[in-house]
Amino acid sequence: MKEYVLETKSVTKSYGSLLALDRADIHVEKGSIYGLIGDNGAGKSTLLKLLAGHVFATSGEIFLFGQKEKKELERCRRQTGAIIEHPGFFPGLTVRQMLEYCRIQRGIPGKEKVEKYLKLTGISEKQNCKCNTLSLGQKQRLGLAMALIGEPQVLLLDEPINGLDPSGILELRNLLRRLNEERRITILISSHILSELQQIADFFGFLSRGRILKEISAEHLQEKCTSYLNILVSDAELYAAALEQRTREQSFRILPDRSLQITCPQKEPEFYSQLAMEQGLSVKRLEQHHASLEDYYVNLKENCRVFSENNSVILKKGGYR
Amino acid sequence: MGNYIKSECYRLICSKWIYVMGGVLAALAFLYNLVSYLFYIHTPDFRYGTTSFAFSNLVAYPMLYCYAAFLIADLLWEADTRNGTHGNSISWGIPRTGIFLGKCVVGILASLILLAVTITVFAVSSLLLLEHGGPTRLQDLLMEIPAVSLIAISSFLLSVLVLELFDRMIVSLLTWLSVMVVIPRILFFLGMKIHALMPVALWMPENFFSVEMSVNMSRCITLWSSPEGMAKCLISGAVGILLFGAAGICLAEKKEL
Repeated sequence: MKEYVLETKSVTKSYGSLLALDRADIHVEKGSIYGLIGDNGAGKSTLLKLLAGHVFATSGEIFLFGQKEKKELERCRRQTGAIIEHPGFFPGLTVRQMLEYCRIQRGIPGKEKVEKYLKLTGISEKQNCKCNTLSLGQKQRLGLAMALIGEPQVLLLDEPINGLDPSGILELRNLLRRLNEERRITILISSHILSELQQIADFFGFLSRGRILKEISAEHLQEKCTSYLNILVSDAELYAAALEQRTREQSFRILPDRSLQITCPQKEPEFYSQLAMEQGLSVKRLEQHHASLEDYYVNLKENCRVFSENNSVILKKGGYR
Repeated sequence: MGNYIKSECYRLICSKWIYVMGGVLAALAFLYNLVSYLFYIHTPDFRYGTTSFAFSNLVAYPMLYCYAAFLIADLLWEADTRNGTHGNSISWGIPRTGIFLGKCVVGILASLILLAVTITVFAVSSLLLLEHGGPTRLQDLLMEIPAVSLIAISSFLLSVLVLELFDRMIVSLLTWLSVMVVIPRILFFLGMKIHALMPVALWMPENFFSVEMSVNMSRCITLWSSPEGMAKCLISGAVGILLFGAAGICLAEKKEL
């Protein structure tokens, strides 16, 4: 049975008349990196704020390490680290003092921890600078150091790559991977930069207009997002044999309409039509498909929009009641 | 809550403002007496170069301690929500009640330190520089501190509460002023017409300090010089602490960031 460290059940959050989150269900497995994908205003920050305890759910349940009661949630949050919206710090304190402040507040013994996380997040050289003099990227690093100093089991990161330069993004990605692999820290990371999340997450949750459209594993998403070639020839079996012999292509299959779908084709499309002609076969159709994560997300949003519009039409007509 | 208090104390020690504020207040206290002294020795018939006049400035306005409480709370936590540091504490599992009470404890500690420094400098410099005598004595000033202590603490609780409730300092200040000054004044004036309200109005510090005391150049009648008056100060302060403490705990629990 899967062990979820973070889970929400039908969580709804509204601010007055604005519905920020609508019956959201997410399931974050222990030791995984969960990417929360959504446009600006989709409800990512609201969901993270709910998990971090900054705001309260209008309805629904939140589970942290299997606990849902208020007091238990507070206790469980001691095992989490979070950067929500932007890292919070006192402008007048230095980076080192801010980390020391966090260490004391979280009741972590050992002053050497400050040194350790200064080094780990790469802000050692700024340790004596005031927090308000840091660049955006340095502030993000400090935020991460503050989140990590409590040695959390779960990290909640809201758009952590905002403001980071390309090398900073790469360093952060590597650091998060390392934390996940070496310490088994579960990470929930939100972003609207899909390509960035694709490189790091094991699971994805797609959020749009406050609703979780889909949760999918990276493996399944990979399948959905891979490029493929679809070719319809006069004899599919003969073509398949030739393909295997000539190219050693393994990842193809014959679809019900007798066309061949070649996943991740190794050669240009012209090669595959030429191959058919060499076998004396006629090519009736040749299509190349490139599905990116962006395409997947846009399609998903579109499908959900059409589905909800159809449903509302049905409801208006009194179809399902 | 213990760790929260420790961390806030650490911040207090690391921050410059408490040293700056302590220094400025002490300097102002000394400067006040120095100016009085200089006038006293250079101006014939200068009536204000006495310890009595100096002490009466503080003794006549006990509400100054309440204003100071708001000022200190504001300096410590005005930007707490805006900076995101309040959110950090909540993310790390510190209960909202613990944060509210922790702020009160640390703030009161900071206030006591500042008060001790300022009053010491003020009293010592007055005694050293100015002519002794007059109706207001050092004892009146020293007795004022325990008498006003609970009222000042309740004022501090209210300050932390309004600073947590409202994001803008000006809104917090106006709310604080309304509760501490404006509403008691209105009740007092209403009490002149509706007599049933007067006893209630006279349990509010803003009113009883202005009505039941008379401190000037010729006399010094303080509320705390009598046991009943001292009891009134302490009871009023205790009720304020209970009221604002309970309101703070309830509202802090419901406050979203």
